[in-house]
Amino acid sequence: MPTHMKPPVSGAASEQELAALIVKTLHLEVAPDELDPTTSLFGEGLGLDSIDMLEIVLSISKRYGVELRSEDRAAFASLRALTAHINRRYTT
Amino acid sequence: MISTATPSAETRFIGKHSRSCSSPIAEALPLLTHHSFEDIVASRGGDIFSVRDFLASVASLAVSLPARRYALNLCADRYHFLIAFAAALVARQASLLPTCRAPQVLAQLIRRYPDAYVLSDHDDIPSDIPAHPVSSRCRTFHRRMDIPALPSGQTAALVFTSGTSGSPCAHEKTWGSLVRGAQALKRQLSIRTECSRMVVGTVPAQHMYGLETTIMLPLQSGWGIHAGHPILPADLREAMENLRCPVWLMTTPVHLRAYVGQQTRLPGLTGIISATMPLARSLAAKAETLWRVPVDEIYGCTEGGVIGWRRTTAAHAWTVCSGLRMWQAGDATWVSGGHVGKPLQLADRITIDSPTQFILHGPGNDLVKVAGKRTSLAALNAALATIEGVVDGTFYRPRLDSKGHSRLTAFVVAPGIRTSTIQAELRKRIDPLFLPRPLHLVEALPRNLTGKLPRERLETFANEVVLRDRQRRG
Repeated sequence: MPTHMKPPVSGAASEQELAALIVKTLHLEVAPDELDPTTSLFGEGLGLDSIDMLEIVLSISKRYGVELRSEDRAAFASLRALTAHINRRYTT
Repeated sequence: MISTATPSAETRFIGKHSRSCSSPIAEALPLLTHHSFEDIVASRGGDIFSVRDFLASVASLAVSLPARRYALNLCADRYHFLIAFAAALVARQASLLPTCRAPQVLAQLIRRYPDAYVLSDHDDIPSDIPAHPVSSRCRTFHRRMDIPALPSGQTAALVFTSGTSGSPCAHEKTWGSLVRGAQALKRQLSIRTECSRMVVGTVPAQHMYGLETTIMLPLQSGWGIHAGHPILPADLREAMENLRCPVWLMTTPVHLRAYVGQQTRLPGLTGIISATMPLARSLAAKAETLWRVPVDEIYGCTEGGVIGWRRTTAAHAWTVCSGLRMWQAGDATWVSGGHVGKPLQLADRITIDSPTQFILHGPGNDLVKVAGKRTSLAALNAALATIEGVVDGTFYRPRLDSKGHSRLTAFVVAPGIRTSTIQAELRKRIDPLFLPRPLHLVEALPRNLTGKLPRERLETFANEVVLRDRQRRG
């Protein structure tokens, strides 16, 4: 299964860039730099739900060409984990 | 020899030795209508579970269940849900099927049904209620195997809607009404039971639409189910690749939009059913072009199940499900008969076009639907009011955005309390899908002299607050 659906727009992911992507995708009323990179995205923390997850996954696929699955759940633990996961998939 | 578990009842059997008895005391309807014990009931990854496997799992679970009246089925895996649901039926227990797992909602259910226990395949369950594990590992075969036949009047499930006061309202589903609902669906969708099919669902089985299309329809059509609950495009594609047979996809407009947008490859797809909110015709057309399969839409509600259907690309009007009668009294629309039974008032705004056709205009003023889950603004406001420190507050539904959906927001008067605290308290009380985004802390709500919040007044207020917030953020 191809990991990259299409080439990324701009290099590897950074936490700041991903925070901006999440805030924009989900219309969150916080500034991207207010997102703590270690706060959990789902459950407690930001409290995102399954529809949010779907939206984020679509945005990431579009932007970085990286496809995420539910088994990558650990990657959704935090912004930091998600950034690292995308970069790992992007470079392999 | 194949026989039923309730010999006094007239019923149908799979296999060659079907028989019926005269003078049935109460009508009994079979748990499933598969043609052979080797037919597939479920598939998970590379594992296939036949009718024989399924019945063995059901029988062994049923005899081990605690002697209680209500089974709170929280299974995440769809096949586990099915085993637990069937075992509870066999043990004459009613399944409690909450769509919301917020801790306070479950606590409320347990208080209301003190005789309940949890059936679950995971550990994320309330600790203060007895739990019984569910698995599909049972491999003990009995030489003599019965297809359970269940009294049509037996309470099979209690499904819930959120009442206006904030506490969930229970709706009883008898086994007969669920079976009749599945048969109505089969007729509407022209489903031929001689063809073996699999069902993949992106909705949970605890949801009425999920129960009807991914549990009851397969049971009563002799079909199999995919045990998972794939939502992400890559998960769905992988599920379909593993099934290697014709698949019906039971999904929602929100999910379908994602799969169409990603042009997700869905091998084996034979039909799509969408429900929970109206599907845009343009999206249905894209899906039909992309996968070359029909997209059918179901209109229904938790209380009544399926009410109507339409082929989205072909008709704007909906066709009333056969066996049901729909009529109007004043602004209210009612439906009765068939699997619905007694007259039921629908919460949506509807006009009746002809004796069998109706137009759906959208939810009533107070109704809130997000991704198939339904609540009312009154219920959400009631939950908000119970939070300590909240002086006044209201949820607000902005107008639909360009994608046809909108996220709820809220305006709350709570001096000295942080929004994160209020959000955390709300999460304990309501489904996360209804969490306001954003939650605006305000000094006062624009109530009129009688203390009411007219929609127009709230709308103007909302626009002002949003504008002010944007300016503040630069």
